[in-house]
Amino acid sequence: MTRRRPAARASFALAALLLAVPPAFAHPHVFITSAVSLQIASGEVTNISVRWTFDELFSGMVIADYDKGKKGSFTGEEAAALKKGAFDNLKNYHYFLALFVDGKQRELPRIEEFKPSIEGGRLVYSFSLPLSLDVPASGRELRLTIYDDTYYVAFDKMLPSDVAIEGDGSASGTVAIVKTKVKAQWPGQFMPDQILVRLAKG
Amino acid sequence: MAVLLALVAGLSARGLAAQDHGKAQVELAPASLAAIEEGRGLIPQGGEFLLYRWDVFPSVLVFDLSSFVVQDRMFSRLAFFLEKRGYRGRLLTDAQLAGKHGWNAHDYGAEGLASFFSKAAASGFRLDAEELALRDIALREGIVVRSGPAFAPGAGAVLSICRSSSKYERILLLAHESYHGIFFCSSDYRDLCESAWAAAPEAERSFVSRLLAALGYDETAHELAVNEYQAYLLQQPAASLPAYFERVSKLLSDDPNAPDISQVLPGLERDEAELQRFLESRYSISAGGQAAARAAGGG
Repeated sequence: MTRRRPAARASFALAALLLAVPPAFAHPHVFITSAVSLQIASGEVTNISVRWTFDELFSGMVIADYDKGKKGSFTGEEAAALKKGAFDNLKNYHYFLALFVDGKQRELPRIEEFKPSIEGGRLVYSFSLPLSLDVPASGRELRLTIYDDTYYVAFDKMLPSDVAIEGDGSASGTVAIVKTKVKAQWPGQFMPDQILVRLAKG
Repeated sequence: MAVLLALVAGLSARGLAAQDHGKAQVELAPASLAAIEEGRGLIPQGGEFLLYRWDVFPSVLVFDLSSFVVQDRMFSRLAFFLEKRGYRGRLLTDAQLAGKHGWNAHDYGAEGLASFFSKAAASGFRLDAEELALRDIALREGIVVRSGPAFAPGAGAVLSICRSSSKYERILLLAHESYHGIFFCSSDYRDLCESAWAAAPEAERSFVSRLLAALGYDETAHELAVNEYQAYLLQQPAASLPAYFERVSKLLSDDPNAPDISQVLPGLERDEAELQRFLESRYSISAGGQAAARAAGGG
């Protein structure tokens, strides 16, 4: 037996994340329904907007803590407190996002425009990832995996209709939901889905 | 505030390793789950965990570890040895554990701990400092006892959460783990769970077994399956049970032989109600634990 130092374990974990190979020993306690939209302007993908709707139990805990007076909405001050208390920590999990462009993983852009809201009694997070990604004549392939590699959070399976492409028409795209290509660690392991957008100029 | 943290203050897990464990004779004060999950106690510089004794079940110890890394060092090998599909019964080396996450929280009873430490002793397997610290604490608390060169089950259990998890994660995780603590320590409750499982329709058992397998558990380990079955039933308030199982049933969407959730949900709700009645009447414990109380705005 060899003894492995903690740093080695951490680097293995990082490598696993960068390769989007989820260790994925599952134990889901929180559920999120996702919707994504890509904004296109002047032949570029300029933004990816993400919207997460949480399950009732998690929503109930967070809303009880931050919606003082049970108004059904968050004031600016409450939203800021919520961001600090129940969103910023997700940086440690790469916000559960992995972005690939033409097969290569991209570092996530800075998360902007975080806005929490309450809809139908459920907590909703909206935020955006500003991009400047041109779409050449040869086209682009963009893949986005929304996945918690510790599997504390389970993301609902997405449909192509959960992904919108909006903008000035200077580029277009087709959307598919595909399985990630990872090696299963045990028989019957659940594999996360990945959003695949094939972009074409014009 | 109730006195919560008992302990091991100032001593890192490495400081508690084999030769030093005698220095850690600190009495553990009982703490409520609400107090534990709040994580108010500071883990000292260089320390790796705080340890609590659950006030409702004093033979259940709760580790609050400083990070996933530390938690993995203390519990991952144990998780693979006792629970993980495709690995159970094997002591994985550090190299084999590389890149594999254990769980975000853990639970082990006296029998499991005894078998793990016995196997390590019999095979001359060199455990990490954190695992030795766990062994020594389990010995000190009588959760395992020495039996010649091996270890035999005593009484009690250990649970763990860690500081890498957010406040809400800790609440939800500890709600789940606490039912394991009850299962390990109450033979009456364990018997009730066994009888509920045995009486459940075949489709319900098949659904739960397939779900556990999809989640990475070795579903063929009978007691493990029954233990997880009851914890998944009770970890949320009864009203949230249908939504929870409808969502996790999507993990079985690629399994053509998995029973449909609509077929098994009535049985799951019936079993949850039976277990819940027992826990309420015997221990005044509700389904969903602090998660339910907080979601209702009363936590």
